[in-house]
Formats: sequence, C-alpha cells, structure tokens
Amino acid sequence: MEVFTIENLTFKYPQGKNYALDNVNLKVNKGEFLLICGKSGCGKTTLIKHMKAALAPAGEKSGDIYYNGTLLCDVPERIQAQEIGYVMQSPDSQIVTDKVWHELAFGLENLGYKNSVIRIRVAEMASYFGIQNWFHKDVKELSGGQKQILNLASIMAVQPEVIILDEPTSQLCNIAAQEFLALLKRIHEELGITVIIVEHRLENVFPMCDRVVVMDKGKIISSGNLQQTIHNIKDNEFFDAMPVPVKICTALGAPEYKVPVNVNEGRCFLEKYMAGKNLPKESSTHYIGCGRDNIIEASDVWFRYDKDGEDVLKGLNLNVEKGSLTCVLGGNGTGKTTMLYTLCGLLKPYRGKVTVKGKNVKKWGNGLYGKVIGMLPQNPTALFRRDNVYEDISECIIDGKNADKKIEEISRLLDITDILDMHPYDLSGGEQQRCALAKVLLTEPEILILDEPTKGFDGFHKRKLAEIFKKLLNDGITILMVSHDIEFCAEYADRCALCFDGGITVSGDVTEFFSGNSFYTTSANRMAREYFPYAVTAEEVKELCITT
Amino acid sequence: MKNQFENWHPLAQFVYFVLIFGISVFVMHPVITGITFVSAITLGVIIDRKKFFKMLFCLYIPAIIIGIIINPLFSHEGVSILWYFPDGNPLTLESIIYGIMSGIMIGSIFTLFFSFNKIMTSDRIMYLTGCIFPHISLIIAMVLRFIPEFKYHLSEVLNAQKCIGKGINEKNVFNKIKNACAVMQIMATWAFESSVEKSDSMRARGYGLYGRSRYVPFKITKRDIILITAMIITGSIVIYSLCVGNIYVWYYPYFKINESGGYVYIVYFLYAVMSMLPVFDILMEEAVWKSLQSKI
Repeated sequence: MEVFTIENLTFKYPQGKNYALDNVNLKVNKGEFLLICGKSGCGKTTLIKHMKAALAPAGEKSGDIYYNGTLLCDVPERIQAQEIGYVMQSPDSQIVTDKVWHELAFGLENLGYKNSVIRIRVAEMASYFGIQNWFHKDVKELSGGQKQILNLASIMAVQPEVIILDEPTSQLCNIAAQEFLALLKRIHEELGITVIIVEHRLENVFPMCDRVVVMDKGKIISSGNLQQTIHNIKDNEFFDAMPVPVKICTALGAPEYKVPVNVNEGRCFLEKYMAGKNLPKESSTHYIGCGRDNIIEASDVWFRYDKDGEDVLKGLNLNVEKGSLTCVLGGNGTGKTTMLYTLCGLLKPYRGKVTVKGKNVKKWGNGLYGKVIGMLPQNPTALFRRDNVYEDISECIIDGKNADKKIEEISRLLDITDILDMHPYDLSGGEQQRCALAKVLLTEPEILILDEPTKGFDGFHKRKLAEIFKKLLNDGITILMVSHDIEFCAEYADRCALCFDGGITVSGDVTEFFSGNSFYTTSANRMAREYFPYAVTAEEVKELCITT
Repeated sequence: MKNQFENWHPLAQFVYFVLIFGISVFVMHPVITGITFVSAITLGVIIDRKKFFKMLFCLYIPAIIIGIIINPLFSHEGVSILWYFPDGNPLTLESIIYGIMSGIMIGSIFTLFFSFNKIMTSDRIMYLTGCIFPHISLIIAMVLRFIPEFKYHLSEVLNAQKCIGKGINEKNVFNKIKNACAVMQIMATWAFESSVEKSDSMRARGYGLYGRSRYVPFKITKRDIILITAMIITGSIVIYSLCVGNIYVWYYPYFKINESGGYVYIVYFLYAVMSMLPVFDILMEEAVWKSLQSKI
C-alpha cells in the first residue's frame, strides 16, 4: 500500500526562474526506507516539504499529493502532526524549548495528551534513544549529534507513521552521522516506520535503504532499488556521489545488478578480483617536504574558555607550510574550531606561541585579517551582510578595478552565477557555503583558513572546490582546512593531521597518514588495504587494480 | 552535589521561600531576623559552599557594614544619646541598633536569594508560572532557548566578520560604525530566519491545535504534602502572633521588645523549625545515608 502518492507535481518559487519541481510522480510504499538524492539545488528538499502541508512552501503549484489515499490538504492537521514526522537539516533551529525533557514532551503537549501518557512516552523515548543521561540537561549543553538525536526522538515520541528527514546528518561529523543513521535504521527495522530521507552524503546511508530516487533539475531521473539506481545513473555526473565501493567496483567491471555497495562486499569482490594476480612491491610515494617555510607555526599552545573550565587545547603543535593544503581531521568536540580561532588570533592562548609569517599573532593587530588571513566560518550565514548575493560578494572586493570581471570569474568558478540575485538566506546549504567562500576568496588573502568547507557539498561541487584549491595553491596561497570529510582530504590534501584531545596526535603526508590508521581512514583504503596499503583514494585503488 | 532540598516539589520550595521571604522582609525583630539570618547562612553554606563564601565576602558583609554605618549617620532619633557629631547631630544607641538589625536583614535577604537562585531552576519557575498562565511558560522556555543561541551566533558573526577584515574593532570610526551596523543587521536577519524555521518546526509538530496540554515533570509526593502543611501551619502561627502583637519591637524613640514567656518561646521555636526545615532535611538525609553506609 502507498503511504504517499504524488501525481504530476509541478512547483515554482515566486522569484524562481525555473521550475523547482517539474512534473514529479512518486509513490512511497508503507514501511519503505526511501532515499532521495541529487545535486545540490535539484529540488529534493522542496519535494519533501510538500509532503507535509504545514511546511509546504508558497508558490505556483499544480498536481496532487495523496496521503493514504486522501488528498493531503484534506487530511486534518491533527492527523498530519501525529502521523507525519519531519526532521530538519539544522540541529539547532528546530529545537523549541530550553530543556531536553520539555523538547521530548513538546509534540505530545500540542496534541493534548494527558500527563500520565506523556510521562510514559517520554520515558520510553529517552530509554530507546539512550537519552537518559542527559535528560535533565539544558539544550545548549548538547553536542550537534546529540541535538539531532533529540530531534529524532521528539518526533518519534508522538508515534508517527512516516518520518521525513531533510539532510539530517549534514552538520554532523562522520561518527555522529553514523550513530544517527544507525538509530534511524533501528527505528525502521524494529517499528516498521516508513522513512523518507534526503541526503547528499551517500557513503553511509546508501547501503541501508530500500529504494533510491535520484533527482536532477526538479525531475526524477531514476527510481529503483540500489542496483537499478547504480545501473541507471552510471553515465550521469551524479555517479560521482556514489559510495566509494560502488565506484571502484563498477570501474573494475563488477557484474551489473551485483555491484558491491559497502566496504565489506567491496572487500569480497576485490578478493576475487585480485586472486592469482601478483601484487606489486610495497611502495609509498613519500611526500618530500620541499623545504618550504612554515607560514603558520603553533608551538605548545594551551587554551581554555573559562578559568575553572577544562583545557580545550593541550599543548598543540602545528606547522603549516607555505603554499600547501593542510587538512586537520578529527571528531566533533576535539577542539578543531578552537584551534583555528587560536591560529587566527581570535582567541588568546594562555601558554604557547602562535606565529603567522614569522610574526607573533598578538602583534599583528587588525592588519592580519583580510589581506593575510581569510577565514570561512563553520556557519556561512555569519558572513552575509546584504539582501542579495551580488551586492554581498562585491562588498569584499578590495580595489575597485575590474570588480565586475572578478565577480564574474569567481561566480563562474563556484557555480553561483544563477543565484547572484537571490537573498542569501533563500539558498540551500551548499549554495550558501559556496557564496560565503566566494566572499572570502574575493578578499584575496595569503592564507585561507576554512572550517568545514565541504559541508553541504555534493560530489560535483567538491570536485569544483578541489579545482579552485589547486588554482589557489598554484598562485602560492596557503590553505588550512578543518574537516570531517576524510575522502576529500585524502584525495586533495598535501598534509593531514589528526586532532584529538586538544592536540595534534598524528600528522604527516596524506598516504602516510591514512595508511597508518585502520578505522579513521578512507573507505577505499579500508577496502583495499590488504593489497595496496598505501592507496587511499578511489582513483588510486582503481588504477592499481587495473595495472596489476 | 545534589541535596535533598532540590528534590522537593517546586510547590513546597515555593511555599518555603514565600514564607521566609515574606517574614524576613516585613519583620525586623531581633530574634526572628536572627533566626532567619542563621538559617539562611546555613542553607547557603550547605547548597554551594565555595560560591557562597565568595558571595558572602564580596556582597553580603559589605552590605551589612554599610547598613550599620549609614543608618546612624542619617538617623538621629532615639533617646539614648552617646555622642554628638561635629555638626551637632546626636549619635544614638537606637539608631545603631536599628542599623545593625537592618544590615542583618538585608544580608539574610541576599543570602536567601542566593539559595533561591540555586534551587529554583528555570524549569521549576516555569512550572509555577505555568500553573497560573499556561501560555507564558512556553514563551519563557522559548526565550531561555533563544538567548544562548543568540549569544553564540553573535560571537560567531563577530569573529567571521573580523576574519574577512570587517571587524568592529577597527581604528577608523566610520568603518567601525558601518561594520557594527552590518553585524546588527545580520543578527536581525538571523533572528528572523531562525524564528521562521522554529515556527515551521512548531507547526509541523502540531502547535496551535486545539486542546494543548502541559507536561509536568514533577510529581507531588506524600512527603511534599506533609512539608507544605507543616510549613503553612507554623508559618500562620508565626504570622498571627506577629499581627496580633504578641511579638513586637520598637526601635524609636527607645528600644523595646516584647516580654518573653512560654507562648513567645513556642513561636520562636516554631519559626526556627520552619526556617531550618530544608537544612534539617538535608542533614537528616546525609545522616541516614551515612548510617546505611556504615551498616554495610
């Protein structure tokens, strides 16, 4: 039986030029785990918003949406609130109240349940989701991953039939994202709840879903189970976003409709593929430090926020070479962002020294920002000052000469030409990130510091970003970035460092770094480490497999 | 450390604070105020020793000293003259006594307020306001959620703007004002956007449907009912004897206090019990815990 039936849905935003949704037909079966994916800005969020009348955006709309056989607009609001749960992208802004217990009870209060019922449900949810340890906490004390779990739990408390999730893990680190998805999987399997999830980071979610819908420019271009999807989009540029095992095994000629989708299956496939072949001698291409000067040096830096608080940075040592792309990896709450702030001189360490271009950061003053250091913050909305993107980014141009040309160039480079006259807040997460990056790049800094630049990016735009990085590096600009995105760092960084417990635990060139770790490494490396311990990216593995 | 007083039902805590605040604000009787002072200090010490002593030395003791010094300087009533100021005004014993008493009173009110802040956490206050105005309690909850979010985002914006060379600590005044305005504008837009998203989330979860209920995470127990009844009975007896005039005090023109006797002692005793109730409860619980431990 279908939970949702969408017939010929076409939709256009009031200011939009193109149709956000173009004649979409979709059926969602009861008990299904449905993944909707596609390039950033392809209309996937718009589509799922239409599945809940309270969230449906305003604009030109035609076509029908049925919920359990009834037109959605005829389904009473109470039923919709009860049966259709919706988890949004940002962990923060959907939390209404200040206490964890109150948030869990909020939906139940709205539906007018009695105190005794609410008490049972809240207790049940807290136990099921492992919230009991932070049940009495203030929401502000929670980490991003905990907040998102709380959002899921408070939706589940009203016992919905369907839950719709809009990129729920995009703001989380890899480990927290996996934890969240595991919970989601558990809900789906144990309670038989229909799950509709929109994601652009497919690595973890792809293997666990029943059906995948791929969208492009407001249209559904593929719909089917995993193997059908792989088959359908093999030649599409979106194939780049597929999980690494899929990419490698397809390239190695895995039989159609039997493509491995996770690391384990990928390993089995490789075993068969490599059987009888001679392994090349172990070789690793060591990155030879070109003896370039260190542009940023941090030695033995200690920092804490409160006098009585815990140390966030504990003896941090980090050197960034001029003209290199250095990535700092690490989970949430290990002090990565604090580290960046300290390196920029925004936070003052109580011990240790940070120098930028050989000069102590304390002595730089305001001259440091803009021309020397440009930073892209974690939250891109913190940068937007104007009502439209064009005005906003043109503000950052330092000398007026060739301003238009520069803007044109940068917007082409970052693929934001189409959205120049929109309000920054109306953009999708990935688009906002790109506009913010455009702003920072236009200030023409010598050192570019980026906090999670690939957040909200899909495979296509990540490749674009990497091209930009390459160009900047050629121009002699130094890039330091902090990221959760192991795959991206493995592919493009010169050096990687792991931030843990307030310090840099390991640092080295990419191959050395990833082949030394066994969990905290790329899926390609996990898949092929038996044969090629030094291959870390999908490309390398592919090449090595083919050449041997 | 969690103490037993924190586990009381908010209503019981509320009754306690209303009674003791009410009596200590309106009555400045040496014995009554003294009892309040002692119990307030004991309670403060038990609840959070470290912070309390900090507050004690920085705030309460100066307040008491100021009360003691200032009153005799400005009030010259009273019959027992001790000395004449150079300007000819008398320094009287009564005004000194009055100053001491008012200093102690202010001190105990501060001290009680310290405990009140520690015990009556936001969710408890919200529960109490919610009993009378159900809608306001949700608004308070949302405001309490909004403030830290706003603060966090503000620091994020300030740092982000600074890092692209548009900080608000520039030397050029014109740029400084321009950038500060921009930050304000960003924050306004952000607040608007985030509240739109928040209201979406609220509507999606059924806010605005008819017949909203209110979840109360506190359960009233038999113990709480006994405590409330005990406090109300003792409190009424004390207040009654204060109103009727069995217990009184004059400071001016001369110091005169009610005569002591059996009845008066009973009232003092009852008030002491009432004001020390949380302290007794905490200490008793600790004692029970220790005895249980030692038996093992």
